[in-house]
Amino acid sequence: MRKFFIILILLLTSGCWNYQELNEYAIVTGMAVDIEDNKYKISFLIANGNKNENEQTKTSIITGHGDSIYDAIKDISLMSPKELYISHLSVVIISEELAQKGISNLIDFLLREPQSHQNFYLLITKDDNPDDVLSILSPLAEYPSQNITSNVSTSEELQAKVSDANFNLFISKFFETGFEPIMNSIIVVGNSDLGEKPDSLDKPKQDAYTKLDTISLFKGDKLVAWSNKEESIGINMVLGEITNLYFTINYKDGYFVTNSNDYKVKYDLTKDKIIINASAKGDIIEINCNIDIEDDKVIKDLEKKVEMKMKEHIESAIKLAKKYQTDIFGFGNMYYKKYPKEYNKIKSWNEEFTNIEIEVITDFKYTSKGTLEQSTINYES
Amino acid sequence: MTNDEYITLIKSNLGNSSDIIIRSLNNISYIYLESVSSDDKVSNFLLKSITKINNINDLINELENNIYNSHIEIIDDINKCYYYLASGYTCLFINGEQKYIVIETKLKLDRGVTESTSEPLIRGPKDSFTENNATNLGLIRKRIKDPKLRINEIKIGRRSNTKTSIIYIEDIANQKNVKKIIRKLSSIDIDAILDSGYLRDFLIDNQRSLFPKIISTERPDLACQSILNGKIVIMVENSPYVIIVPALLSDFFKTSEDYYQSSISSSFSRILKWIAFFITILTPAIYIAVMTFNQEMIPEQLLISLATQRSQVPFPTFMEVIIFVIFFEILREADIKSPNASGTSMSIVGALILGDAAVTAGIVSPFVIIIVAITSICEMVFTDMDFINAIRQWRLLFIVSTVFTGIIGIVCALLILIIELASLDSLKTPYLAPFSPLNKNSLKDSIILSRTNKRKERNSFFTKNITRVK
Repeated sequence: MRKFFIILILLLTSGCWNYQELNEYAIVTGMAVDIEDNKYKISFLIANGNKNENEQTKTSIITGHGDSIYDAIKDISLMSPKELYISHLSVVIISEELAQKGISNLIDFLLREPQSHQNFYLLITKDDNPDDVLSILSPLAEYPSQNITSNVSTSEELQAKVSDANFNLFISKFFETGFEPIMNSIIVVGNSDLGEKPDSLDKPKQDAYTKLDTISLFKGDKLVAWSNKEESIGINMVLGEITNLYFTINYKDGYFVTNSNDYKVKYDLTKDKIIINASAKGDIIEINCNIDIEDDKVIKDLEKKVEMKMKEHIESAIKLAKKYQTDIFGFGNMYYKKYPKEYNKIKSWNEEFTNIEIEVITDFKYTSKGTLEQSTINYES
Repeated sequence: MTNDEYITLIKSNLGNSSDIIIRSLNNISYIYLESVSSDDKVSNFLLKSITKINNINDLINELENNIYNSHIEIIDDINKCYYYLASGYTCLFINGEQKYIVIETKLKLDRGVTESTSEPLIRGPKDSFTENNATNLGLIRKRIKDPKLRINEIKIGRRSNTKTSIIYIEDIANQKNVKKIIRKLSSIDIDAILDSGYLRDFLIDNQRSLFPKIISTERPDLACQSILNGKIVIMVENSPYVIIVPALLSDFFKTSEDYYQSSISSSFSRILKWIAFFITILTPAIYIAVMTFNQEMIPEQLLISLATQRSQVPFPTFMEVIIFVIFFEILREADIKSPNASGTSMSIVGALILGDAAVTAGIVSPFVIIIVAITSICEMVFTDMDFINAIRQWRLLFIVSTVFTGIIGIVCALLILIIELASLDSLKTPYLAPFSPLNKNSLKDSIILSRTNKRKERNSFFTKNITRVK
C-alpha cells in the first residue's frame, strides 16, 4: 500500500509534463518571409482549420509584422486562437528583397528554434509576394504547402531544372568551406487574387497555379544572380544532382528530342585546372526532321549534337557563376580537401575561381531509338 | 451387523434421500442411488447373476466370481460406501458378513466427446476433453501408448471427493516437479473442487503476477504434446479443462496446430502473434503519447487529419481512449456471456450503432475507434483467458503511465514489464526461457519453429531426457 501511494504521488505531482492536446495546436506547414519598411513580414499557413460542408479542411494564412523574426511570430500568435506549432513546417518561401539583403537572420532562427526540424524546402519567389505563393490552392493537393512540397519532390527527380531545395542541403553548403548555396525559385502563373479563393478549385481550368522556376545563385547569405533555363540545367549538370535529362536540339529542317536517365559527372582536379567529365546514355523521344535513324552515321551525328548541347549548358552555367564570382559548384571545397595547404594561402576563393581554367568534356551514347524505327515524317511519301 | 441394520444406517446417514433404491433377496440386499446408477445394469447383470447362484455357504466369494461385471471390490469399511454410492456403484450386503461388495453400475451422465469450442483448429484432431474423467484419461492414453505413462490419482475436497489425476511420463518428466505437485495437491484441504480452475491458486507460489503460470486447455493433443515435452498435466474430474505446468511466456504464443503445419507457416503465424502481442499492449498508449506529448512523431498529413478529426471532441485524448477501451471490454464481456440469439443483435448495437454514432455525436474521434478496434482484434489472437486478462491489465497500466509522461512513460512501463517477466518463474523454470536464459536448442521451437525432423531435442528446461528424434 505504501508503494502504491509513493507511485501515485510521483505520477500526480509530475504535472503532466509537456502535455498538450493536438487540437489546441495551430499546425504551421508553410512560412513566408518578406521585408517591408525594414520590418519583417511573416505569414504562417495554418493547415488545420475547421472542415467545410464538403469535408475539406480549410487552411488559413495569418500575417504578422515585427522588428525581429520572433517579434513577427509573436504578432501572429496574438491573432491565432491556438498555439502555433512549427514542428511540421514543410515550406519556407522568401522574397527576392529579403534574399538580396541576406537571410542569415532567418537561417539562425530556423536552426535555433527548438521546435523546428531542418527537413523543409526553402524556396525564393522572384516578383510575387511570398504569402501569395503560399495561398494558391491546387485541386490536386489537400492544402497549399502540400502542393508545393510534392511539386518540388517530384520535379527534382524528373526535371533537370530543379535541384534538391532542402533546407538541410542549403545550410550545409552555406557553412561548408569553398561552397556557395543555390536556391530554387517558385512563381505564380495567372491571377493570384483569384487563385486564393476556394471556388477557383471548382473550375476545370484554374485561375492561378504555382510553378517551379529557375535556380537563383547566392553568395554567402545574399542573392546575387538569377539563372535562365539553360543555365539552371547546366548548374544541375555540374552538381551532378540529377539523373533525368532531356534536350530539344534543332537539327536540319526540324528538331529532335533526346532523353537520358543515366547521367553521370566526374571531376578531375589539379592545382590550376578543373576537368569536368559529363557522360550520359539515353534514347530518342521525338523526331521532327527528315533523317534516317537506321543509319549509324546519322546516329553518330546526333550523338555529337547532344554532346555539344551538353557542353553548351555546362559552359553557360560556369560562365554565369564566374561572372558573379560565386562558386556554387563547390570546386573550392574539392580543392580544399585535396590541397588544404594551398587553399589556406588563397585569400578569396571566389576570386580565384574566376581565374581557374575549367575544361568540359562531354560524352553521349544512344542506347535505344524508341519504339519507332523511323521518323514518321519519312512515311508521308 | 445384519443387512437390515446396515441399510437403516446408510439410509439414515443419507437422510432418507428419495433416490435410494433398496432390494433384498434371501440373504442378499443391495442398495444403489437411482440418480447416478443405471437401472439396466443393475437388473441385467447384478440381478441375473445373483439369481443363478446355488452355493450359499461361501456367498461372498461365490458372488465375486460369478457377477457379470469387471469392476468389483470387496470392502470392509462401511464409511467408504457413501463415496461408492455417490459414484454410481451398487453395494451388496450379505447377511452375517462384515465385508460388502461394490459393483460398478454407473449411469453415463456426460456428453460425448465433441469438438473444441474455445480452441478451434483448422488442421488437426477435432476432439476435446469432456466432463468424464475416464474419457479424458482415455483420450490421453490412446495417444501415448507408452507403459511409462503415469497417472497418479488424488482425491481432493472434503465434500466433493473429486478425483484429480497427475499425468506425466516417468522417464521424461522432472521427478522433483512431480513430487512437488503431488505434495501441493495432497495438502489441499478444501470442501469441494468443482473445476480445475480451483487448483490454480494452490499451485502457484507467487500470485502477485498478472501473467498466468499454468496453461489450461481442452485439447487432448496439446496436453499430450506437453506431456511428451516433460510437462505435467493435472486433470480434474468433471472439468473439461486440464491444467499444464510449468507454463512459460512463449507457450501462450504456440498452438498444437503449429506442429501439424509446415514449419514456415507456423513460424509466420507465431511472428504475427508476437507482433499482435505488442500491438495490443502498446497501441492505445502510443496513440495517447503521440497525440498529447510527442506530436512531432506523426507525419505531416496524418497530423493535420488527426487534428481536424479531434477538433470537435471535447474530452482529453486519454479520457476518449479509456472510455472506449473500457466500453469495448464491457461489450466483449456481454457478448461472451449472452446467449447466441441475442449476441448478434448486441454486436450490431454495440459495434455499428454506438461506434458510428459516437463519432457523429462528437464524443470520440474516428481514429480512437480504429485504435480500439486494432487493439481488440490483436487481443483475439490469443485463446488463453488468463493470458488475455494479463494483456488487458497491462494495457491499462501502459495507458495510465503514458497519461502523465508520454513516450517516457511507455519506456518506463516497458522496462517494468520486462523486469516483471524476467523475475517470474514457473516451477523453477524461468518465465522468459528460452530467450532469457538463452538456450540455442530450445530456440528451434520458439518464435521460429524449425522442421520436425531437425528439432532433435526436447526443451532442456523441463527434462534431462532430451532425445526426441533419433
